[in-house]
Amino acid sequence: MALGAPEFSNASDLRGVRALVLVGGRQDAERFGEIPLALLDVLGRSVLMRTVDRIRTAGIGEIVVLSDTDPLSSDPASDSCKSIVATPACFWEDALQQFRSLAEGAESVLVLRLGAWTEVNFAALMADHRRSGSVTMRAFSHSGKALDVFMISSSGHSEAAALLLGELRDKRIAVAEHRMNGYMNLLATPADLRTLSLDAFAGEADIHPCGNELRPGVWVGAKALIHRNAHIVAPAYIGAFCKVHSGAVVTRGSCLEHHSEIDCGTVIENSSVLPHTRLGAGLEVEYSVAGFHQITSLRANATVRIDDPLLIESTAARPSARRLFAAAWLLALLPDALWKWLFESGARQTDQPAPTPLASSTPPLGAPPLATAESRTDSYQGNVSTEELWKRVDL
Amino acid sequence: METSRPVIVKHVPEVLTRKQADAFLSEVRPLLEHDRPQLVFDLSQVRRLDAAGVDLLLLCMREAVRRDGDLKLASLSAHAQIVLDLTRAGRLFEIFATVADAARSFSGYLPNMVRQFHPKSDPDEDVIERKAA
Repeated sequence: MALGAPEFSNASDLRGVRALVLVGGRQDAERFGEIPLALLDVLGRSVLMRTVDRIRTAGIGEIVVLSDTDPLSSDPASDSCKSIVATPACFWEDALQQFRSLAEGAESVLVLRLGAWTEVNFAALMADHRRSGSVTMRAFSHSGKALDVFMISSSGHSEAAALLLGELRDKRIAVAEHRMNGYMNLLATPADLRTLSLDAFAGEADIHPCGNELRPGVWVGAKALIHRNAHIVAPAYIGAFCKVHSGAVVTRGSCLEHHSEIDCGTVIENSSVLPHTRLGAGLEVEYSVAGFHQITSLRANATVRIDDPLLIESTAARPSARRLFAAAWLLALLPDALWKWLFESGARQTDQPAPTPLASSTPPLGAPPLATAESRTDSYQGNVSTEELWKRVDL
Repeated sequence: METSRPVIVKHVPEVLTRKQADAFLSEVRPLLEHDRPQLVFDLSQVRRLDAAGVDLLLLCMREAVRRDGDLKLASLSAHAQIVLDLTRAGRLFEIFATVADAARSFSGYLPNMVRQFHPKSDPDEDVIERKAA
């Protein structure tokens, strides 16, 4: 134990521990396109912020997040930790500098690199660390896989320097082993991201969807809009501010992250739609991860970039930019609408009578009765139906 | 007597988007204007395909079918496969792993090919089975 560090009666006490969370940093880091997988949302919250929550819940107060990419979302919880963006070239030097500043006055520093989602019991890790008396303790999965989770004594500056400058890969440093029994997902590929979502739905991973469970297995975030003719089949997650249009189907453990939009008739099956993604009408997204102008087919194990806004489009992340785009879109439509209103409606009035609303809504004789939202609810378990045309979910 | 019509294989360019669609259509149109055209599109080089490109493929198939011919796709690149699956257009085409397979498939349902696939089959057996049915 370091000199001057406080003594704790409880072996698993984490009051003298500080945490350094690293995101990215390696050339072969786990990414979706350019974005580290840890920064992507899983059921409404990024893996990074969920990890920070777990660390904080365990009792570690001071947390520093060092990332090589700008965080995507302005999560209010991110204010509770110090977030630093480092350039990829000097990422590990910055990590070492942060370790040194955290180690001052602390008993140990938890160094955790994302990647992987690991449900390490930090209290048990600390207890093992104290019991072993070693400078560095590393967590291993129950199958013996080394994880990027270390507990380093504050006095172990040389070990920390060797570990961090070696990108946590230096095997010459003596580390004590801590075997974890909790859930683990390596989050190495987009397929792992999908697996994590499904495991969260199944309750295997300690990840809870952010939102209200409107029906068994159907979670909906705040201010989501779901058309009454859309089908949501459990288990499914509709994130905050999402918009699901008429005839769209979301099924088999699919999750739509916040501000995503699914156009008419599109089927989302066993897929993840990333934040601020708009999918066009009449598409079929199956066993895929879609977002940021990209789609990864997990069946074909291939990622392709699509620049056609009719298929997949990324909406602006900032609300002001979204409003600006919406206003521009509306303005672009105005001349055409004005032309139709002035000339085409006049021509129709002179040529043929316009159909009355009653006539247009009445089915022809002999046609089967139109299915109502209520009748569809009977045939789809966990289906969300509303009495109004659109349902705004205010939580 | 069997008369065989030629199977034309056309390589689809790397980029088939709104801008390139017209140029490709003008290349393909003479092939589609044959009587009963038999076309195979090789999509192995495709790196970018958008909704307009898929629309063009459907247009070509419609033209071929209208003249009692057919259009088949072969050797799809990952990009083409994903976009065709995404737009649900993939199920409208016959898709083959190789161009040779696609070209061979045009004669696959002729009587002599059926015999080739089942070399030991006795024509009498077929009669017996039909009677039993």
